[in-house]
Amino acid sequence: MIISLVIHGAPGTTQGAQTALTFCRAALAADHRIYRVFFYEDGVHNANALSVWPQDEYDLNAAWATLVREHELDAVVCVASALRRGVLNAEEASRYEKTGVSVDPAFDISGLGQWVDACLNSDRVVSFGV
Amino acid sequence: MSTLHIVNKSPFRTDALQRCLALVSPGDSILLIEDGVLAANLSTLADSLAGRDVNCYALSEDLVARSVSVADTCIWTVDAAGFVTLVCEHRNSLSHG
Repeated sequence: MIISLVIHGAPGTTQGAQTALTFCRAALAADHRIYRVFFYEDGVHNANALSVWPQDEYDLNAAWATLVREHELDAVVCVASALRRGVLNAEEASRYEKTGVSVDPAFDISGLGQWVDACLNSDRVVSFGV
Repeated sequence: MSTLHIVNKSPFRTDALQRCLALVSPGDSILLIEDGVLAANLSTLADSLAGRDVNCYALSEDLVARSVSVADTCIWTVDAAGFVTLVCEHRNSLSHG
């Protein structure tokens, strides 16, 4: 089946992003296709490449970036959610005259329309971290 | 058109489970995940589901992480692969936060 996920929760504050990661791995292992993973509201923090986790804690940010790269997933960060939380790519940093870039290059920054598109083109959609 | 209702909040902190129970229709299923599995050993949950044609599941890794045992045989345990299967078996999923 074609499945898309939307993740509302930040790593470290809710379990939702961890549950979504486990679900995503299981879906891929069962040969389902992940059409899109959409990071929304506080979920955009999962795409922050500047997060540094203590050595004895699980680095969820790195785990998501690795999964996205390994499976070439379409991972999209909501632009409105990302900008207000300081999750910026080079293009947005330049547009708003900010000096830093924080989003991992494995993730794209785009609009909520990408989630609408995912809903229209997926057999199943699942929300995590609500 | 069946729905998988996903409950991720503790029944002791929010009314997510109660709102879910008010919405479920015959043929739907409930999946308890994260802190939602704390409802799995409530006898009141089994009472609420009696005679409603609603299957109830709990995510095994979240049960183990919280040392919660399932109180009633009407609640089934599933792993991550089972979670994926449940999503595929139901036309819609609804996450109750």
